[in-house]
Amino acid sequence: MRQVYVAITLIVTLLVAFDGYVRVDVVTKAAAELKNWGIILSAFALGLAALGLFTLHLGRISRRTPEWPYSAALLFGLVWFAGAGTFIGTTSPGYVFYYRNLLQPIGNAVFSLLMFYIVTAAFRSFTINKWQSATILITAAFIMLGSVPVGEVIWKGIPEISGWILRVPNTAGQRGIIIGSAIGGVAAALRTALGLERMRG
Amino acid sequence: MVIKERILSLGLVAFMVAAMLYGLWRVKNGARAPAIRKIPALEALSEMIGRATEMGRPVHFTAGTGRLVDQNAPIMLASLDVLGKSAELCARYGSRLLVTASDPVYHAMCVDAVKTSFASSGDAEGFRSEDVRFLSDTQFAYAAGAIGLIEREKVAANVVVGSYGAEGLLLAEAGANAGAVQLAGTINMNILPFFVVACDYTLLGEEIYAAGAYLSGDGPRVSMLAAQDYAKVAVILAIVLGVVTFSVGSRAITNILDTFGK
Repeated sequence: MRQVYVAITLIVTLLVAFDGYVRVDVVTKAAAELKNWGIILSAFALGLAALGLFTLHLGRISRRTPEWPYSAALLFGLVWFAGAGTFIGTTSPGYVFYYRNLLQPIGNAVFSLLMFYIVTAAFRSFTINKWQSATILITAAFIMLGSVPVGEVIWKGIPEISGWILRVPNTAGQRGIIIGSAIGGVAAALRTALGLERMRG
Repeated sequence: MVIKERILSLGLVAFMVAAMLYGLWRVKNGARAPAIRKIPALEALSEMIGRATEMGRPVHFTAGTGRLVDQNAPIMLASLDVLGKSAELCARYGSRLLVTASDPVYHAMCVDAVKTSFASSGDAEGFRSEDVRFLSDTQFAYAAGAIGLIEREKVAANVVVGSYGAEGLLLAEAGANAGAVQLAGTINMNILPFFVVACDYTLLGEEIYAAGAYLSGDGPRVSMLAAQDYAKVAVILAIVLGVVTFSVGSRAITNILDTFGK
């Protein structure tokens, strides 16, 4: 049975990969079709995952666990958005109102937590107890001061040092990691396509 | 037929396939698999889970909000190896493992990876399907759910390996607030610096792709890592050659790259 899975994986991968390298109508059409299948499979998986979520939180409500009100709120949101999206449409005022006035502001609120988390992460890492922490602190100080007008007022060399750090060591380090990651990604994809990785799912 | 601008890329892929098959052939014919350098982050995994077991608190695993049907697929698949090993260690030590997923397809694969690892460790009954949770496919809804879980369950080890956007730092800081030892890894250059400062151990880019072979110690898989290194050597040689030829006034390499490698 494993050979069948490997053969299907190999054929699908080759078709989709070749679509990026050759201009042949049959390959392009087949690849587009396969990508559509991927979307359909994702939709089914989403349905199953939502069912799992529903069962988990329904169980919590029925058992009256300490977090049951949150589970009730989650189920209400799930049922409301799924129902409204299916029966009255995602462009209907009833759906759009909740999307704009509930979902988006909550998302923005979670996103805004990032600012506080950046400060707490920086506070921990800027505690000088190792030479690496000292390097991060000094580098960050130059970059921050180099990005604001007051840096140039303190010393004219600050923006130049800041620019050099970003252009030379930072870019070199990033490119090294990017090239390594890209090659690693291709290798991982090839191992999967050739059936050399563990089959899951 | 073949797109001219992608010939170099196709050549590199063909070279990697050949190198991989050669490595595999060598190991299957009795040659010893190449040695891999120590990766401290992966070495620490066992210690992290052991600590969580001693504290009687759970371990949390997340691969972020990447999808299996886009360009993040390789990193998401690679993260499953780290999940598999984490689950195996949790089963062996008797620790609870919480997994949160944002991609429904990935969630299904997580269930399989955890279930298989528990079964292969002789603790099939220890697997609890409700501990492998799909939270949401929306970025910040997922982050809010995962942060809540990390804080409520007071996780003692937080494994954050996969594909992340802004939620990466939210998850790492939630772990730090809960007092968890953290292992993080991603290929996203915008998030990697945050992981380096916020977490105890970090997997940098390609180290994640090596994790499966490293953790399993499986000869054929380790041998295939060498193919990656051959490809890297080829790219480094091309860079050095390009710098040297450009420095002496020749545009030969840049012309080749412009024509066949855009």
